[in-house]
Amino acid sequence: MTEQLLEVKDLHVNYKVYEGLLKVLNGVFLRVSEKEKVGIIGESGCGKTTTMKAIMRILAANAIVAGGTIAYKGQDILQLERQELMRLRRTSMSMIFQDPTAALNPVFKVGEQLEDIVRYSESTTNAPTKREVRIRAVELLKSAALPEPERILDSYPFQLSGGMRQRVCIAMSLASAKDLLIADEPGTSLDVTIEDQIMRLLKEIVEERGLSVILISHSVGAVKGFVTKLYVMYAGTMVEEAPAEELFSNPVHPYTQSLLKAVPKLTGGGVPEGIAGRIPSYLSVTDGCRFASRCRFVKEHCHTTAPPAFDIGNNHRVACFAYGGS
Amino acid sequence: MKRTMSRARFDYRRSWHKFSKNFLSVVGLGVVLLVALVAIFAPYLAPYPGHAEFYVDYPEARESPNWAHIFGTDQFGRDILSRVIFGFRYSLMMAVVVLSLVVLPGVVLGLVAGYYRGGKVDMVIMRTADIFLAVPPLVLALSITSVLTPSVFNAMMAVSLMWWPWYTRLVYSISSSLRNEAFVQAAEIAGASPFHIIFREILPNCLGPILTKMTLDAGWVILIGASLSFVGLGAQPPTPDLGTMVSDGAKFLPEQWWISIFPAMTIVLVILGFNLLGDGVRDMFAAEAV
Amino acid sequence: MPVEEILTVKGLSKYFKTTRGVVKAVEDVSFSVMKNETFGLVGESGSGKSTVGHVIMGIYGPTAGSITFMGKDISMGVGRRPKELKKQLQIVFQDPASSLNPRRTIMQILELPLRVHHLAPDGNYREKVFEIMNLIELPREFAERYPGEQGGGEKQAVAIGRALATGPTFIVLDEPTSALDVSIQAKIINMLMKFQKDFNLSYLFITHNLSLMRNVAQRVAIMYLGKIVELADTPEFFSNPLHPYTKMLLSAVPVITPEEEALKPEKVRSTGEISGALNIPPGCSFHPRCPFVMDTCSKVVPSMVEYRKGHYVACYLYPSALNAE
Repeated sequence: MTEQLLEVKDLHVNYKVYEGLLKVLNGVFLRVSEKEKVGIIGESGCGKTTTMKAIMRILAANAIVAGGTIAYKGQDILQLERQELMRLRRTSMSMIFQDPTAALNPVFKVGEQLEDIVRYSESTTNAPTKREVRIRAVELLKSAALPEPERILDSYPFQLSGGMRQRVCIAMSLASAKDLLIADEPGTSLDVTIEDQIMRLLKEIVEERGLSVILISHSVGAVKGFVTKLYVMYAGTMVEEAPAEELFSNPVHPYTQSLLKAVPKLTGGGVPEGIAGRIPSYLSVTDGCRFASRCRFVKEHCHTTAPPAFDIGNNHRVACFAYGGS
Repeated sequence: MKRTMSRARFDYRRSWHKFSKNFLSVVGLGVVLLVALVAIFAPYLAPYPGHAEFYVDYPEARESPNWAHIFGTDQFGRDILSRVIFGFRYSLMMAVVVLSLVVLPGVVLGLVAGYYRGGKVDMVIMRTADIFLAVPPLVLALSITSVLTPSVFNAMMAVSLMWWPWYTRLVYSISSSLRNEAFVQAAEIAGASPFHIIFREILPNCLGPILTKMTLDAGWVILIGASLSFVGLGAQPPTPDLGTMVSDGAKFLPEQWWISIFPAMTIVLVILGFNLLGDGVRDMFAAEAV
Repeated sequence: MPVEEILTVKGLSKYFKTTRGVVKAVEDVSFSVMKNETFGLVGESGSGKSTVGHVIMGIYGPTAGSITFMGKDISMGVGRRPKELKKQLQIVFQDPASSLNPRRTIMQILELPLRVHHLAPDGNYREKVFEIMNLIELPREFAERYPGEQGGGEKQAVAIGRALATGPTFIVLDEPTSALDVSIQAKIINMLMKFQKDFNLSYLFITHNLSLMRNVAQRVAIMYLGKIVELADTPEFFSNPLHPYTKMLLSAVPVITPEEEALKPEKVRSTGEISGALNIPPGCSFHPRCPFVMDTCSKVVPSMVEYRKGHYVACYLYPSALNAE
């Protein structure tokens, strides 16, 4: 068994707020191998961004990691010293955020920001000269399929279109991503045709460099065709894990089924049904399955015990008592 | 319509929680409350209330701080602590009067200019404000008080005259940007009158910055008032104004340092108190993070 | 029974003067919405679809062209519209976070249109607000809460409730679910469809989500850089798209099922960037990106042609009606 690049086990993260304690992540698990492309789908507030922030260790000040481990290349990230962590961020993993406009500093030229990152990511090994940094920056922009890279380096973010800004962010992340790239809804703020372009570009880059990717999205269609393994998250819990093809052709968790049914179809068929009920408040979650209040297969014990992830073959796991144990 | 429209409830506990997150804000609140109480109960708290008016006792003059006179005495034998206590009255009065005169018109003008942004109303209001803002504040106050008879009242009028445009500017920037927000458009589409939109939709969104500014301004106004008195254009002797006391005692530095230094320290204390309180007020209105 | 038009837009143009030049947000747009119909307006950012909705609502006055509602001309700004008209025409904005005043409670927000139009005969506005909240399936206790305390779906429900409060006949829905998750979107759309039936409403539904449009609109028009490039009945629009831009957009839609994948036209790769609205290309605005570009395309703006019955397109690939050739 090859060693996993990233392995998250039983992660619990809480947030301390005025009203009390938000018990957001409830035993989250995740496995990414080398060169693997993994997707996480889930709706807003389900904890996907919190999970990513926990992995990169950029959680907010009021967040508490209450349990679990995150092993990256064998080391537990949560225990890493600051120096080690910074080195990891500089040389091994990086993140692309949802809104490229917010990710770029509006008062600095693109070149200044990109060159900062280039310099920062190389500085441990050698001190590059200004010229070397500039050349590398141009290379990065070219690999993100940006035309006229010199002109872009001298532009401010507001002078670029949304698609170009996102490509600049991709270029920036390539400076330090040698092993893992986390993309948090990279196409959400873009038009559909541009999103299409960006996702194709990302796929090319990732495959060419042999990177592992974690792609987060609330749009089910956006991840299809990109990832090979999919996780479905609901209210801070990983409810299903399966190879992408398998998940779409055979979704087993009641939430996944309802979610896929709720997506309107291009072929017609009328307005899809929503899911009855609402997401439970993280303030008052119980120890039971968090989907229990909205599940049409709910049984008595679902309210009191949280189901573990059951293996149903074909690398397909689901956290639901309908598929195992009791 | 206005009178019977529903009122929203104010969440006191949550606001206090946000305010008190920073310990210094609570310290600021404490200082301001202390100063206010001292000012209100001055006649009962000052050890020698009579010293706040015309009083002379040469044998007691220029005594360094001791148990009978904790802050020492000045060149006329007056107890400095008592005069400082009464001095708070004038300082706070300055802040209260100026802000009462200035905030309402300044805010209303800013709201109206922002709502009618781009039109003649906007231009007239904001250019007038610009004119007042172009003159350095102290210069304006000095010119006005030197033309009129120097007095506490005239100092307050002078400071008010140059202070209102700051509120207009502050509110204008918020009002003109909110003007095009969807919720204002929605209110217009629903048919709401400009009065409703200005005072019921836009104003509530300005309250946070306005109240924060008022709190911080209290400190500034006190400082400007003290500066005016320092140069002799504000309170006149024997009024125990903190600024006057500093300037009077300046000629006795450095030997009888207490005559100037204690009043100066209390000015610093009062302003610091308002600044810290202002931070807390700003935090109180800030949106909460997740 | 003949289906009548409730809203007609003819030759509508809207230009904005900015410091960097004139933005031609909407250029010569014409269409009609029938009674009880959901008319869809689709396009990407910069297409002008939201501006069309805003002009119809009177948020901006038109630069040229006319808007007729129930036979009467309404091309004036919202400030000059008669009160009666304001009751009839309503809008639901895209982002509920900015369309609801964060410093007003839900009760106050829903009360406003009722009070303006004196819609509670006995003066009991609270009851009327509770009626609306019941309709949008929000518990009464939420009335004293602020929008910021609610989730996106609930906020949008309030925005819809506000739109319904005056008993309108026509509602402009400007990307009503774009900011919402898929499961909540389904709930909101179902609510909107139900209201349409119960209250005999006509909708102008604006969105960039083609899969959604497929299931809510009876007719669809697609806009690019301010102009309508194709207009057809929904089934026809999706199974026989004509304009290259329509095909490009359709081929880029992310879908899940193989049936949908089969429906999508062959991938049309765009060549080049979207030009900003400041320098709209001459002739057909789409020509710099069009894989089928011809000489005429960069010179003269193509006019709308009824290629098939009810199916209109503005493209030199279809210079005249099908059976005319």
